[in-house]
Amino acid sequence: MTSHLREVTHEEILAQDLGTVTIDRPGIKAILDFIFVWLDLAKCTVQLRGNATQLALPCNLSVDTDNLDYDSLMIQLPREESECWQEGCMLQINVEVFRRLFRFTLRCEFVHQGTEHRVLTTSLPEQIDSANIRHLPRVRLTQAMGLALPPLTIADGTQTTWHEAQVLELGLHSILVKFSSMVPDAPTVLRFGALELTVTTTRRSSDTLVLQMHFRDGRQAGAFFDIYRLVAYPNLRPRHSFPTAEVFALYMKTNYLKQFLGEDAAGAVQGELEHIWDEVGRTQHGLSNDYVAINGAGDLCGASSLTQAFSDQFGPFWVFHQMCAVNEPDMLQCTRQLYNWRTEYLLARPESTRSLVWFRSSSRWLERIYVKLSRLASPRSHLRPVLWVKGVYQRPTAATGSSRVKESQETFGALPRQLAWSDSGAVAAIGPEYLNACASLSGALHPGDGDVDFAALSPLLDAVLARGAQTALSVHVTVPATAPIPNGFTAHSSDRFMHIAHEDLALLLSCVDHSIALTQRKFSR
Amino acid sequence: MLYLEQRNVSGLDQLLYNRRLLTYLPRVEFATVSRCQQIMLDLWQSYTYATQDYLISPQLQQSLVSAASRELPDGTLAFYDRALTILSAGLNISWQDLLTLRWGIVINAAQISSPQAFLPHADGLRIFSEVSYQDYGGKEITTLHTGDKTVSLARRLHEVLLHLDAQRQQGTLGAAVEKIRRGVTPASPALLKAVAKHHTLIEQLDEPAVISA
Repeated sequence: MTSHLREVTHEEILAQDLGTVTIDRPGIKAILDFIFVWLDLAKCTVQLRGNATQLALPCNLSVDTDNLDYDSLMIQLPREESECWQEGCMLQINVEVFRRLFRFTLRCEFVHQGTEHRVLTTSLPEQIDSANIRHLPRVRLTQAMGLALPPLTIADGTQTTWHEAQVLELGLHSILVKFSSMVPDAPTVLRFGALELTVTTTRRSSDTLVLQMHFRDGRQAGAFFDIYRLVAYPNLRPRHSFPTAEVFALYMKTNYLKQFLGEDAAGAVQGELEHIWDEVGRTQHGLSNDYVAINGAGDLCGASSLTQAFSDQFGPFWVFHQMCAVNEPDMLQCTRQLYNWRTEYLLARPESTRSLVWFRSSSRWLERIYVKLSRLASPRSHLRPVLWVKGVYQRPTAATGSSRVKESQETFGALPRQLAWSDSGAVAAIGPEYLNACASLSGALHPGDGDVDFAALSPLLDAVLARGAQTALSVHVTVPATAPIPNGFTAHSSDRFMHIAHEDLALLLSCVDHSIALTQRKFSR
Repeated sequence: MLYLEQRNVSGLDQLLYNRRLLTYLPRVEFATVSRCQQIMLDLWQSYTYATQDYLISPQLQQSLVSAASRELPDGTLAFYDRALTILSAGLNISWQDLLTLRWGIVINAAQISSPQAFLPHADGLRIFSEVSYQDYGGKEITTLHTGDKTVSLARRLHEVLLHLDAQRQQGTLGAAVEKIRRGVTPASPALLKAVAKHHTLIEQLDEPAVISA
């Protein structure tokens, strides 16, 4: 991923931001520590404050490491581009790292003239604005990447003439294109192969345009994601493009099935899983999205899924699940892709989404990502310890129908899924049993920020079982961490649950990228 | 070592006879964030003191200071030790480097003064051999590596301390510190800024004192 400062200005980024967070004095040292620890991965720019017409100049930010605490910052600039920058001027600094943008104002206190560079020594920031980069970075295309994309044509305002164009950079929300023929004044529609998208022009130069995409619905956003992933996630392939037997072998090889189902049961579910994967494969960009990763040799090396598993009166809940990866030393980039595609997929959608994830706190990797996310996220996202119990739930023979339980049905291919929710915010769903390979998506929970016990979830389970004409079914139920394990149930190894609001998805990308960088640094040492 | 509700005799015995144990605390001290932070700081300080005493026993410390005082110029040890404490407070210097600076000059001078006396401790004291006293009387502050990051901060701090001590010996400490203070800009090296910041305290060190071992 690259961020091209000259093409995507930070103004563009901040304009997209829905809620910039201001960090004051107590937090400033922590942010500066974070910036300087990851300075090699950060992109810094500086501009004179109040001079909107001047482009931000790329600069090198540094600090005197001999000091125990920060007493000043140093900014190195090319000499010829900063002739007018003097002591006393106010500077606006932008630091972009792990898809977060930190912006602060500094006073230039001393100017050192070098032969090639000018070094400005400045005050410390009084406050720092932190923004998640919602205007997702565009990927600059190499020639090989360009060849992998379907041909692009752009229509002018009347849509009577179509012009060929070359993609220079591709992002989830915007695209930088170069025209080989006469540039239309106001392109309104573009075609990527058979996919037609509505666009508006956001920036224009002599022969390039930045076009903003407007997706009609989630399915169209998903279809575009399949083009975007060719350059942003080159190791990903749709799961249904591989024989199901190969995918099953991958889940066995990574111990995913043995870990959650047990040694004996894992092998026994192959037929069931392959049937469900065939059916679910038909709903790609609908209810379930399943991708696998391949390594350099073209062999399957990981998989992950994103599924609309539950619903309430406000819409669906997406679940991050079925993530597995083989343990190979060069898998870090594949791992990053397997985690991040799901988040970017949701960010691309036009509607506001809600996501759920269960994970094991014993995994330091997962704990680091989600605890960091919960600390940075808005109050609408929350992480809590839970007891995830699994067992066979028996529906009472007497009718327990509740008028406060709402119900609906979805289908994954030809396979039905029964859903129910209550006014209190609790949700339940059953079927197809192996929608998740370890059968964990049939069950009930309260996705909101509050614990609900097993008894309160029972009416929902009764409702979905009754609707599915079943009297008993193996389910996973999320109950408070302090609750006793119900009779006949066992505790799942996942003991943390997180609800992620749409506005915090960009932070999740940041947290994953940060964790990948930490792991890379650990290996390189 | 931690206890649950109250200390017991066995635990106190352990603390008394096992030099590797630093302290004996109630477990509840770690239950609150604010208390835990203070305890961790206290533990860290105890650890650094214990390490110093482990490397150089208190008896050996006294002998070393006594022998070094005979070798070094009058007042140098006391000045160096106190100026080191003042200047290192705001610098990003590790406690191991600080320990090396504090004792290196003493140990090297003591080994010159009484080579045979400290021969049995030579192996243990070798880690301090990098820092020794040199006469910086003729050197200007501008010729030192104050901002040269290719030289370790400990080495640069050592040079500045020797330079200031040389000025003290010549009776020009006040003027030298004032000259540094006047020349400091926001872009100056942290070491020179530290001298400028603490100029009053450093000038007050121009009096004989006894180093505490």
